[in-house]
Amino acid sequence: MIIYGVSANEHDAALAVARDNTILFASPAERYSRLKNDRDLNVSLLRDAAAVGSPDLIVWYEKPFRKRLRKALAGQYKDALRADGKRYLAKFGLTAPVRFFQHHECHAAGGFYTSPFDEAAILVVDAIGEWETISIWNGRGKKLTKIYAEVYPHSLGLLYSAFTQRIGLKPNQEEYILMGMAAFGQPRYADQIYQDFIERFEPPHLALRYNVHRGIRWWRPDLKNDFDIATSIQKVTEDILKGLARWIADTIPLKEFVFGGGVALNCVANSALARLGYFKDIWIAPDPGDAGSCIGAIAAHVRERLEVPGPYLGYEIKRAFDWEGAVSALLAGQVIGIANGRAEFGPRALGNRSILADPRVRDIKERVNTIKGREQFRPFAPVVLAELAPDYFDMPVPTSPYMQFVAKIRDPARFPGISHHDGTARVQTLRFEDNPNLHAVLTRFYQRSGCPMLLNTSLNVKGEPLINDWTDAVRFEKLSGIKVY
Amino acid sequence: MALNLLSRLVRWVKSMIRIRRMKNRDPFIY
Repeated sequence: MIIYGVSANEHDAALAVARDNTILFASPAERYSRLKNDRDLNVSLLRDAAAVGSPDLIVWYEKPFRKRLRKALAGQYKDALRADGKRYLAKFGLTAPVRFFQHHECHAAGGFYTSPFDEAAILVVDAIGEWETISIWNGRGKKLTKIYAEVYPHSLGLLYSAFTQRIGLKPNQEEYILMGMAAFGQPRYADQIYQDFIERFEPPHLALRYNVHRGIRWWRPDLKNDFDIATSIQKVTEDILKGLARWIADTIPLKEFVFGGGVALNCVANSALARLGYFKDIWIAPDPGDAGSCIGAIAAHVRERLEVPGPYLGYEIKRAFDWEGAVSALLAGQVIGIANGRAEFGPRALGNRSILADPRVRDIKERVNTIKGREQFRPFAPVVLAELAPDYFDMPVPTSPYMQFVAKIRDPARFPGISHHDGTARVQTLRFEDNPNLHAVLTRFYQRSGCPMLLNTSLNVKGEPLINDWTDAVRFEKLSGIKVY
Repeated sequence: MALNLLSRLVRWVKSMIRIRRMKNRDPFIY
């Protein structure tokens, strides 16, 4: 049976195709439409999905009626009336039978059934689903049992997004920039945030004083240091997540922990949770956010472990890969691009749509930030040979193949290209089986330079999604002057 | 039964009040 999992009509639309419990294809819509965080499916994406198979069943990542009700009650009348679910799919000619699953159920299932665990405690935290904002589950075999749920408007994710807007960034898009800024400030307003916004936090109960759904531009206009505000809300977020993790560890006596929802994209908070030591093993799906719920909806339907052949599930560029040329360019201190094989599903470039560079070069961070049109303070991530990662990083987890955890760099001065202000880096560990092409490049680079890591960032320019096909790569070459292999 | 319904109604009204408790009329961020 061919199943289409769909997450669309809100933000970060995405589509996954599975045969029974095997994921065959998955891609965010933005890669095809070239519109960042695109909310809609598109014809090109559906054409590639159709090449895999026509759907016998479509699974949708939300319960449309519950969401409409919440929107209507909150005052989002236009949104509440927008075509959703079956009506939305019909616009794209998708008329197969449709099953709907709850938003947080898709996050929980998408995490648990892609994890290596037979049983696990599951925490889902995001801005809003239909109503739920925080949910705690116990996953065991085919059974997912909800243990607790907090509902709108009491939302940690929404509060974080409101602060993203408060410091002049785009909410629901640029939360990762706020997280990066947090390394530069002091948490001097954390108490103020507790006082002004948190009415009660007795794990797992969280109550906010206000509905922050319209942002908090009104909050303390006298506070001008955006870096301190960023550090403060990051601290509050981590404290609340730690409180939830403690409650889970006390309530569900399991050593395996799955974390999902948009807040699980906060790799600094993920590392704080990992370092608590409450759990033996932590699993975060490659895309724990809403785009990932296209796979989550399939998981919620099949209720068994999904066969997922890694994070490379998207459009395939079939070209001979000149890895010797790539290594030579890197050794010469050049910045290069890689666009080869199937595109990564998820927000991180993991080697098939990446910009690579030598992290030891003094001005490499400034050069790559200039190429990408990013703020100069923003850090880059390293990809490191997995077996050597502990020699160079104080890892909070044994492996981090999807760049979901940050680690202290043991010698940050040696690797200025990947060292953040606080001496940390968001590490991608790499084994041969993760990505043979990238492993070949990195191994040869290590043999010839003695450096087992490369700077790895997404192959795109500011404001655009990750490169999808070779036409996009050629355009990138012309715009940036960077050779793409 | 009636008491149960009444308490659910009170809870619903309270949650509605909480949902509409916003300090501004800016556009929704989601």
